[in-house]
Amino acid sequence: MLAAQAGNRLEIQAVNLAARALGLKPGVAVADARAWVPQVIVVALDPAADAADLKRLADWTTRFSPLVTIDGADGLMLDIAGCAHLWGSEARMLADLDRHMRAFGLTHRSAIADTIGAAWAAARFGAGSNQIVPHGQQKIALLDLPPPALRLPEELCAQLQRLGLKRVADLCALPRAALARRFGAVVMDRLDQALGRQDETLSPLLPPPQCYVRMDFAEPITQRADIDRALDLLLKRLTEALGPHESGPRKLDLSCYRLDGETQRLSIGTARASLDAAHLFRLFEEKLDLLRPDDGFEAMRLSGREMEKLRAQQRDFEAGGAVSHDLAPLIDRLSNRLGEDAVHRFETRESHIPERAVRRLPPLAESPRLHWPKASQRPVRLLPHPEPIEAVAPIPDDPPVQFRWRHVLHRVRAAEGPERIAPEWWLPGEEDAEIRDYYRVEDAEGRRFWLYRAGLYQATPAPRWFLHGMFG
Amino acid sequence: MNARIDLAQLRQRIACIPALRTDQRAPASALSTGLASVDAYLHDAVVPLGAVHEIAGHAGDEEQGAAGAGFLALSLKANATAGWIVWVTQDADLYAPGLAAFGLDLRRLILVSARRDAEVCWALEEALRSRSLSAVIGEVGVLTLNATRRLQLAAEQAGIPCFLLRRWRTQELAQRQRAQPIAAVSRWRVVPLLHPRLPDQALATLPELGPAHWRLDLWRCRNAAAASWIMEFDHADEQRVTAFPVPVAAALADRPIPATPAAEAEAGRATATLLRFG
Repeated sequence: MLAAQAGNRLEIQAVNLAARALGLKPGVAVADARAWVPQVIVVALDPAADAADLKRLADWTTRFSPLVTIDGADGLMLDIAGCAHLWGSEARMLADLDRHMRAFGLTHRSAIADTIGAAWAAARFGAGSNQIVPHGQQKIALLDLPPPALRLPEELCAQLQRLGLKRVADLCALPRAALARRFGAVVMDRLDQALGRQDETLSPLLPPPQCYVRMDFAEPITQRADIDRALDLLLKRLTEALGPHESGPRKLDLSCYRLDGETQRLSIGTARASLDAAHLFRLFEEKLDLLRPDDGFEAMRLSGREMEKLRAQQRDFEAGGAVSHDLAPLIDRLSNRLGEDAVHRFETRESHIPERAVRRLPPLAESPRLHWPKASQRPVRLLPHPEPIEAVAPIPDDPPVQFRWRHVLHRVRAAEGPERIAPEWWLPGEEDAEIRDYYRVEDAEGRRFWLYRAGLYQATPAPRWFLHGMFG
Repeated sequence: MNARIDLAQLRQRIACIPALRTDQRAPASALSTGLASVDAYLHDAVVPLGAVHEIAGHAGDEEQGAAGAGFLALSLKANATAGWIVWVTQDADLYAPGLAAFGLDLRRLILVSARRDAEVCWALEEALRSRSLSAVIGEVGVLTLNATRRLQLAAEQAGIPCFLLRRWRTQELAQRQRAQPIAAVSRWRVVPLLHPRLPDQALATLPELGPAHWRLDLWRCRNAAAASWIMEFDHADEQRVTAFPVPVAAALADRPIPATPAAEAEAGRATATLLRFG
């Protein structure tokens, strides 16, 4: 029995079957329940843990369909269109779900129907669990159910109850216009959705894949060699299936369903759509060590997203034809291991502020624009953040004669400047930025630095100096 | 004259031996820097292009490796005229406009950021094995002999240069690592020099910078003796002649490395001063 604080008393929130048989039900005060059944076990309700568990269960149910969404605090909705044949029939799919749920020790109710509304009603209010509403017969299934089965707001249900509309059939009997006028459009909408007169779609938890292949194992697999072989087969099946379409995914997710209900997921991305099974395998290979099979995986699913047309160049590469200077496989391997944004190219950004004059581009972007003003000399190294230095500049608007940076004193032997760079005050957050006067200086060892003084020169407070870069 | 030609041929053949490759297309290409007198020396010595080349800074610049990066940008123009270049970094401080000033074609440059020295080596090896590049560069601190051997093998097979730009976090680390043996065919040191100008006088204002001066030390090389050059690079001139991307850098002296650091510095300064008046 689960309990939670409601107002100033502890109330029962949920009960198990045994407690229900004894007449305990949600809404009863815990004190009353204890008086009634002294041996009752009360556990505090933990909504966060429940939500997390539900999320895990949702992850696990992606083995039935990629389109899963969480419904309220205690429900899951799956769009199984086109998935049931993998189990033979809807009934066998439902039986498989039932078997697993029992194995997890979960009490559940489930139903399959043509529409979200009908399935929801049948699962929560239908007679018995594991109900399948036959195709096109939502209306028959719904007629005898109470109005809350239509997913109506609570106060509306209470109102309907008071008016004696106790079944969906009573609602159906009323003229539509009157119903909408009296109770608002929501009643008609929900009714239409449940009966399939109005379309409704799930918004899935994970981005829906555009293609996927799956594999069930007669015996759970634990060995790395078996996982390798399964992945290899999945990749071959996926790439063969996609070959004729001349398109491939840029993101691939491998979901491994563990015997205990946990789902482990690995993802890879490619710089460009690829159907080279060997290359994709190599990308996954590095991450396979992250899988923890424990008792073994009973199913694996490989799904692809972000489909893209294959480019002709790539097919040459696969066919082992002319030697192609195809960078994509290298970029994939590098970004797969070092991070998605680890590989990039430079492009000019229109800005006078040195640190903003360069933009990072994805590595395979078409011809980046590169044109920095030639007139101004720029260092080879630019510190990501200008570092404050102690500088001595005797004359206003002159370069410093010496400065201390990272505890080392540098005597300036030659200098050029200033080059004044004004802040881009029109950008948000730049309103208070200061003018910078940049100097190129050479120290006594011949090293050349790029320094600047922040703000216009003034005697007090002492001007602040920064080191921003190093010339070659 | 004849003897000289024979000697060159002999050197070419010897250069093929360590690789022990079945295809004898190497050494079709030799390492070059884009500086005439340095290249002549490298060509005579048959320093292969497809190998590991180390470039280190001097004391004080070991953390930033700014001069090394500049020299690399300059020499990549000569070593990798076409094709992709991969530059693996650990700190995001490479500045594109500065590199462009040295004539490096940034359209062909791909940056890879790694987090550790070992990751840099891994990325370099992957890049060398991909066979779709013309040069790879890695900014790396601590190196093991084995790691560099792997890179050397991969570079030999790929036939493209693998430049290791050394960057050390601390001076202490630099001292320990600087002379450590690594499997590099050539090891370079780029040292900024004071611009040759009149000795200190009580000038009212600081003089202008003028062209950058570096001393280039080839302090270890598989097929040749150590050598040093002084080179000059004028940012302003490079910018003026953008239509002809020819480096304005010039090797000005070609002489053996002096015995002691003090003498070395003295020699450097002497040559540099000569420049000014000569």
